[in-house]
Amino acid sequence: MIKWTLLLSIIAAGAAGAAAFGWVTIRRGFSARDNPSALEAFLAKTARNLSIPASERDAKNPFAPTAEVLGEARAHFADHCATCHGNDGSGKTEIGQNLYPKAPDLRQSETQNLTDGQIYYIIHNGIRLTGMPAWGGPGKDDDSWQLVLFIRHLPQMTPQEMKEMEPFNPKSAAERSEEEDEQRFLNEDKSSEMKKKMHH
Amino acid sequence: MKRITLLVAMFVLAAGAAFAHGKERHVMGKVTAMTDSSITVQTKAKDPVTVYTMAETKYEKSRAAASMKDLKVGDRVVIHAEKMGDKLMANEVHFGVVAKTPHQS
Repeated sequence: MIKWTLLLSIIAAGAAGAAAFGWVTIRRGFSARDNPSALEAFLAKTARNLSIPASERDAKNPFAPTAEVLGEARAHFADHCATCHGNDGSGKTEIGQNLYPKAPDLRQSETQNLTDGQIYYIIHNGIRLTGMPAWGGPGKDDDSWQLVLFIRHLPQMTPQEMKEMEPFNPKSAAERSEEEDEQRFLNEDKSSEMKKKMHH
Repeated sequence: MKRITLLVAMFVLAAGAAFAHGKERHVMGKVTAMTDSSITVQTKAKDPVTVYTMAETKYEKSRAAASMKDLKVGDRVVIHAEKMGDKLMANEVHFGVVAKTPHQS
């Protein structure tokens, strides 16, 4: 009888705790401006890691980090990932910093300590209830494995490499037009000098 | 895979269009005055605009990293600035002749 009372008390306390957590969460609202609480972040990361099957977690990358593979992955990252994660992987972009949770700094241990298989799984399958989409279709995909190599390389990125990524960043027609206007304006002095020389 | 990529690309482009330059203003003109913490630009509209610099402000001369010391009065400049309070703060300062940017097809 005492055992049942104790068990029921524990269940009631758990239910009350969950209800209180739910109430506080709802009362805080669903704005994406906030940061997840430490408890929410812990629970979400634990659930994410537990959801990755052991065989996937321990999977080995079939690609080697050759210059060619890294170059392809760098362009792919700039085109598909940098809008949220930034070319340097810092997550310091307008979208990345306004998501819930915010895009992580991929150079930091939180990401770098994951196994290759875990990073691949996250890219391939996405993460539910975050801004991270599933980039892969059915079966394995080479692009995600190559991106794993590039993410490993992020902490050693050079300013030159980041510069080389810029032409691959997605831009709207209006942004391209504006960029061309700016280039034309900056080059105007040079064009008028050349015209003067030709005239003489 | 292609359908997902297309959908996400559409989302990213739409989001990019909605977010891009939401807060930034691009100031184009000739530098007419400079202090240690500000650049005054005579714009095409003929109204002088003063933009304030920050420690985080990035400078690029002909697409290469530069510093404020490389900028001179009379230079043509494009400043990407953000309004903070009643001041325009420079995020990026571009000057010098630039080659055409290669775009993806």
